Formats: sequence, structure tokens, C-alpha cells
Amino acid sequence: MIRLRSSFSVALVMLASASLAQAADYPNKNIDYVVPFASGGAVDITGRMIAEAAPEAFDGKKFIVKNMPGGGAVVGQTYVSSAPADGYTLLAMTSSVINNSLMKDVSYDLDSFTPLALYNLDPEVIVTSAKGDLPDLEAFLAAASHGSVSIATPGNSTSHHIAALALAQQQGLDFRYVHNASAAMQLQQLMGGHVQAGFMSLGEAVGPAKDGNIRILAVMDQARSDLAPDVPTYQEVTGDDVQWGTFRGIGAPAGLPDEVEAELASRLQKVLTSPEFIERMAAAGYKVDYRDDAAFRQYLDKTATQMEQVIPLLESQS
Amino acid sequence: MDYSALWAAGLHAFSLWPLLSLCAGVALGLVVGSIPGLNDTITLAVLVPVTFAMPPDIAFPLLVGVYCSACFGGSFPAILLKIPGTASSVLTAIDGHAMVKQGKAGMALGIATYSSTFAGTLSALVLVFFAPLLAQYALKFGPAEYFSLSVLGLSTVVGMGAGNAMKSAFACLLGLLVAMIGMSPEAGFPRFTFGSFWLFEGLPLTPILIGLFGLSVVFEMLSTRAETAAGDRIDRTPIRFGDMLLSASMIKRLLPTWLSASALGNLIGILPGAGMLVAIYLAYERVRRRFGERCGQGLPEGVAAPEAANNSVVASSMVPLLSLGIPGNSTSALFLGALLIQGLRPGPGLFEASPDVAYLIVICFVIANLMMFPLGLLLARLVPNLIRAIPQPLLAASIACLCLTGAYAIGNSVFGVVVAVCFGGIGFVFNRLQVPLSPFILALVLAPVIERAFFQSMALSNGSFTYFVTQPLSAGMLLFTLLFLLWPLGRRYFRRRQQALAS
Amino acid sequence: MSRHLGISAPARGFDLALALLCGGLAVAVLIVSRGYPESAAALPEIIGYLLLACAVALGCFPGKRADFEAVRGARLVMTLVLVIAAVALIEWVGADIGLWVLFVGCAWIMGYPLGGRLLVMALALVALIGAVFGGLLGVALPGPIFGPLFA
Repeated sequence: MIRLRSSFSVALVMLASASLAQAADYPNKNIDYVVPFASGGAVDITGRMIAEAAPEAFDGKKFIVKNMPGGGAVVGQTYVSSAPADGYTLLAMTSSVINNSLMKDVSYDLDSFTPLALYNLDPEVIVTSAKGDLPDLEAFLAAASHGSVSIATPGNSTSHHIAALALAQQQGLDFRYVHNASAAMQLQQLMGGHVQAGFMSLGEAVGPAKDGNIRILAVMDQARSDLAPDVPTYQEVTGDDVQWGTFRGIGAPAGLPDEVEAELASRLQKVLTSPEFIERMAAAGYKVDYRDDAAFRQYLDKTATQMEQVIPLLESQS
Repeated sequence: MDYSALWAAGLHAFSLWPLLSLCAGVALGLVVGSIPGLNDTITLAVLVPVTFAMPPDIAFPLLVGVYCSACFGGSFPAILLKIPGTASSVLTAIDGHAMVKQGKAGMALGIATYSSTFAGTLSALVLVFFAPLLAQYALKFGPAEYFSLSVLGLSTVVGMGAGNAMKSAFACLLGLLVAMIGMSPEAGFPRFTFGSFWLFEGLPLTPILIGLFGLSVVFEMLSTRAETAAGDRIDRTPIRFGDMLLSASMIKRLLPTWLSASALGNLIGILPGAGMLVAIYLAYERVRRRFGERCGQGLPEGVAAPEAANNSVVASSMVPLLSLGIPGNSTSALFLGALLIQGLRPGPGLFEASPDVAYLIVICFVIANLMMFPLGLLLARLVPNLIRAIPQPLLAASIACLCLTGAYAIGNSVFGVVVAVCFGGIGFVFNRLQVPLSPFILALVLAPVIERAFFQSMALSNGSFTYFVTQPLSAGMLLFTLLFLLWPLGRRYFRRRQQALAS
Repeated sequence: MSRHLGISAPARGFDLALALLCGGLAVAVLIVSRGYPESAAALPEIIGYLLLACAVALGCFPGKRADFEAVRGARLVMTLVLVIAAVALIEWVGADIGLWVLFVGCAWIMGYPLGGRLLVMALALVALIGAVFGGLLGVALPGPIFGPLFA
């Protein structure tokens, strides 16, 4: 009995010292990488590529990709926001963190997360069916200001729907929205010529555009993209500076110990800027735009302000 | 069509490593498909990142093997235990298990194997030779066409209710109601969520299926008298290869069913987002119309039709992915990921840019389906004997554990387990009340498609209902639905007239 | 000891209960969907009215008879308790313990002798499930034993 109790207290001491020493010998176990979407999407695929590259920079410890879909990413985001802030739970952060905390009744907001690194930016593009009657941006804008143009979105309240709403309001355009359940269905409608135009990410549009199935009219970014150098920016054609896009980054629960945060940020930088990772991402059609934790935080704040201005639009339309 | 590249890829597929990995894939797919709680989606999600490190000629045979055979694997527990291993074998369970009760387990498994192999190979050949052509047809489907197709699919519910009309109508309505949970497609308004974010995206389908079909059977085994539970669930006669091989006359009898079911599977399977279930239900409905009452009581065609339809959907769902770059369902979305990771971009350019890999993939579909035949028969020889060796209490306990773990694994959360348990209870009560489950599943899957396509059509036509009739394809399908629904009435009228004339 | 939950005479009672349930559901749906915006309420309202019609029709033409003859009340209650306990254990203690209890409980309810043999077999199956899901499928199951083993 006495021996049992003493061994129990030894175990307790060991446990206590382990949690104290945690920051110093981070990482000492595998890390959960929570993807708040079902498997198969861009966030999931890029997440798995990060997990593949991670062990080298994390002393051989693995990233375990956990898909936690549900509630438009709310389920996974809630899970991470309430997970222990010890650096062993990471979140694949997308613009839905901002949308959800602003528009839905959720238990977290942007400050519940520690942004660690941004690895991919995908500007918004306006596309039309290759079979359609809108050959360029001018024709598109003219059509939408005189009558209404049908617009396919991957879903109500998605970032692409919000982009279209914002543009329509700024430029006085008239859109009829055709909401789908996925980006795949949106693409199918565009290719089949059932809708006139659509809003999507450049990354998704480049492939089908190369095949000649859809046409990219303009990219909503400050400069042309290397992925589609022939496509003009929105500003080039119209003179109005319109920028919109989605991002993919990595975050952790708020309140990380400083050493752990620094450790994570620098190790993630090593992973995300390694030539092998960049090459692999490029092969899969993604460009790596690395930003460190401070720059990522700044970017998030900017996007949140932008989003706050647009949200009343979304609420008024329904 | 580049026949020399096709020939080269064919030869390459028969070299050692690709063939071995294809074989491993088919075996793995059969196993995960036949375990309730595991399915091909979760297996592929795990395998896709693993294929990073593999050369494409090993990675893709493995993935294709799993993708092809998981659906066939699902028919084993469906037939033997009345627990569909995957959603695609929901209807196989009805006649398949009835055959087991009549002591024809070997024949039921044999029919499933023959049907799967025949239809799978046929649609793989269609994939090889006609993919670009069919992809263009798939693009013709706009919102109006999806609406009409789903209405056509839903109309098969009417036929299912023979002799039990109101109870199957209730099951169908309940399916529609459960599908309403979550964001509405048009306004993004949360319906019946009661403020819980778990319900925002609706109830997840896989835990529902695990509950309705897996756990409900476990509850039944636990709560009913042991004699009846054991007696009718397990067939005592051992199964030999001889029982599974079909006679020439049986093959001749099933051939028309196979052909019509694979035609349906091929046409509907290539539509992204339309789902495998419509094809299976339509194929089964065709059999039901032909055989009437006998369907559902151990009719060989009742096993052949759904098995042929679901396996032809497997290959044809790759048509939009390979030819257009549009994934047709969640499983092919994972396949898209695997292609991207290997630096291959699916679309019209794939067969020109990297013909070696592209043709290897489509050839692997053909070989995987052919491989299913011997491997399936082997499994059919082993599994029933294995199940028989396990005492009933331990079998029930193992199924219960697998179902709960599978439901947990879908979303990495206990929510899936809770959903599965609730629907396990519903499934149990439905079975006792004689409320059929198949209308529920069909309505659950089709309701969102119908509602979304309706509002999309309204947006495109400025709110004009005539849109559904002015689109020729859509009008044709609606007309067909109407004929389909009126046919039984018309037949009765003609019969009565004939009788009147005769007397 | 265990009583039959129902015999054929009150079977119609179950069918009537189903009709009432259907009607109740219809009313609930119609009330809840009243506050929804137009496009979101359309289909739920249609379903509500159809359910109402279905409830009436179910009362008149119940179709195939409900069959609770073989169900034993006591075992049904035990099953219910066991499953709820297993889910609670998975949520608050861990999947390993929850599944183990579920396995042992199921086998026991069906009359398997509760002995060392069963307990060991339960352990083996739970370990196998943990290894397949945690090790091969990368779905780490939570729990005091699984947790450290697969993290």
C-alpha cells in the first residue's frame, strides 16, 4: 500500500514537472492539425502537404491531420478555440474564422486564436462560361448594369458570394445568384453555360481556363498573378481598385506560452519556406506566399475590417 | 483516342508493381467495404497523403483498387447480416438477406459478385473509350435537369410502398424533414437547428446510415428472443464455391437486368452531385415493376439490379473528374487531391499531357473490376464461415463497437456517435412498426438537391415555373415521371376493360 | 421475468401511436417554420401539411401491422441504458473504456457468460479497433489508454 502510494506520488511529480518542462522541450509529442472541413478540399490537401513536410522541422514529431467538418467550419474552430493552449493543437485558418465569428452565434472570435503563419493567398476572379456571351470585363459590367447577370456561387454566405455582393453594391450592378453546395457544382454550371458568370478563387479557375472551358475576366488583386499572366486586374480595366481574396494560414488557441509561440512560428516558417514544400505545392497548383505571425495578424485585422463593412449587405439581401 | 498510349499503359499495368498494388487495393477495398462503420472515403483520405511518396504507377493502382471494390465489399454484410457495409448496398440487403433466409446465401453472394464484376467492367470500358463524349453530356445538366432527375428518382418511392402505402409515405416525409435540418440553400437561413452549431450543415449522412442499418440490427439482436434472432439471421449450411457459381440459364436470365441497370448507372453516375442512390433506386424500381410482389422476397434480380447499378456508378463517376476536372462526389474529390499531389491536373489536357498515367488509371479500372471476381468469390467463401464461427453475442457486441467507432471517426467527434445511436433507435422502432427505411434514405439524399435546383432554376428564369418544361431534357424527364406514376393506374384500367370484354 | 412488450391485439395501438406522432410532428414543423424567411419556409411548410395529411391517412389505413411480439421489455431497457452509458463514457472518459463496456455489456445481455474469457476478448477487440483506427487510419481515438499509445 505504502509502495503504491509512493509510486503514485512519484508519478504525480513527474506529471507536474512534465507540464513545467513542456515549453522548454517543445515539441515532445505529435501535434493535432485540425482541418475544419471534410477531406478532399484545398485546405485539406494543402494541410496534408504541410503534415508531410512537418516532421523534419519538428524533431521528427508528426502533424496528425484531423478533419472536423460541420457548421460551416464552426465545429473545428470551436474545438481549437477551447483546446489547451500548449501548442499541440493547430487550426487550418481560413477566412471562415472571420465570417463565422461576425455572422454566426459562436463562442469564439478572431482574438481566440494566435495567428502563426500564412502560407497561401488566393485572389478572387470573375469568370464566365467559354460558351457565353460575355467575352471580357467591360461586356460583363455593361450587361450587369443594364440588366441582371446570373452568377453562380459555391454557396450562400461563402466568401465568393460576399465578394459578388460587395462588388454589386460598389459598382451598382445587378446580379441574380445561383447558389450551389460546392465549388465543383459551380464549375459544372459555368462550363455547361447554365449561368453567365461566377466568382471563384484564382487557384480553382486556372486549370479549367487553360482547358478552354471557362474564361477569366479579371483578377481582384493589386497586380497580375504569375499563374495567369494574361488576365488583367480589375483596376487595369476599370480604374477602380477592387481587391478580394481568400487566404490559408495556420493558427493556435490564444494564450500560448511565449516560448512555445516563438518556437512554433519559427519551425512553421522552416516548413513553409522549404524548397521541397514549395515545389510540392507548385506541382499541385498552389503558390506559397509565406507571411510570418506578425504579418498574418495584420492581414487578419485588415480582412476583418473589410468584412465588417460588407456584412450588413448580406443581412439585408435575405 | 491514342491507341498506342492505351496499349502501352495496358502493358505497363500488367507489370509486377502496378499489378501488385492494384491487387492490394482491391483486397483492402473489399475488406473496408464489408466492415460496417468503415468505408472507402475514410480509407482514401488516409491513403492519399501516403501516396505522396509513391511513384504514380504504384499510387494510382492502389487508390483505384480501393475505390472500385469498396462498394462491392459493402454487399457482403448487406446480404449476410442485413447491414449494408456502404450506402450503395442499402437495397441489396432487401432481397439478398431474404435469399439467405431461404438458405440461398451462396447464390446471393454469387449473384452480387457476378453483377458487380459484369457492370463494373462494362462501365470501366465505357470510361476508357467514351469518357470525353459522356462528359459533354454531363455538362448539359443544368438546375432544371437536376430538379427533374431528382423528382424522377423520388417518384420511385411510390412504387416501394405497395401494400404499405401510408407507412412508406411517412418514411419519405420524415426523410425530407430530416434533410431540412441546417442552412437553407437559398437564403442561408438555419432551419430546425435550435441554435446548435452542430446542426448548421445538417445531420451527417454516414452516421445516420450506420445507425439506421447497423445499430438498429444490433438493438434487435439484443432485445428480441434469442431463438428468433439467431435462427433467421444465420444460414447453417456451409457455402462452397459450387453454390456461388451461376448456371448458364441464370446468367441468361439476369443478363437483361445487368444491362439495363448498368445503362442507368452509367448515365446517372456521370452527373456530378446526382449521387449513386438515384441510379440504384431506379434500377431496383425497374425490377420491382417487372416482378411485382416477388420483389423483396429473395428475387435474384433484386440483388443483381442494385449491385450492377452501384458498380457501374463507381467507374462512371470518374468521367467528369478525368475529362473535366470536376469531382462528382466526395470520394472522387479525394482522387482529385491525389492527382494534384502528384502534379497532375485532371481535365481535357490530362490525356495529352501525361498519357502514361491517365491511361494507366482508366485501364486499372478495368483490371480492378475483373480482379474483384476471384477475390470476391474467395471472400464470399471465407466470410460467411467466419461469421458462423463467432457466437451471436460476440458478433452483436463487435458490430456495436465497430458502428460506434466508425460514427466517431467520420467527424472526429462524439456528435457522430450520438447521431448514430439516435438513428439506431429510430431504425429499430421503424423495423418493428413495419415502416420501410429505403424511402427515408432516398428522400434524405434527394431533398437538398431538389430544393436547391428549384431555387436555382427560379433565379435563372426570373421566377417562371415554365422553365422546367421549356428545357427539353428536363421536360422529357418530367413527362417520364408522369408516365411512371400513372402507369399502374393505366394498367389497372386496361385490365378491367379486358376482363369486361372477356366476360 | 421478462414480460412481452406487446402482443398482437395492442399492435394496432402502436400504429395509432405512429399516426399521432406523425400529426404531432406536422404541427411542430408548421409552428417552427412560421418564423422563417419565405424561401426557407416553403419546403418545410409543404412537408408539414403533407405530414398532417399522412397522419390522418395513417389513422385510416395503417398498412402492415406493427410487430413488437418478439421484443422483451427488460432487455430493451438494459440495451438503452448500456448504449447511453457507452456514449457517455466515450465522451467523458475515453473511447477505450466506453467500447470495452459496450462489448462486455452487449455480450452479457445476449446471454454470454460473464467471465474472464469475455473480459479478455473485449480487451483484444478494443485494442484491435484502436490499432486499426489510430495506427492505420490516423483517427486517434481519445482515452486514458489510447491517448498516450497513439499520440
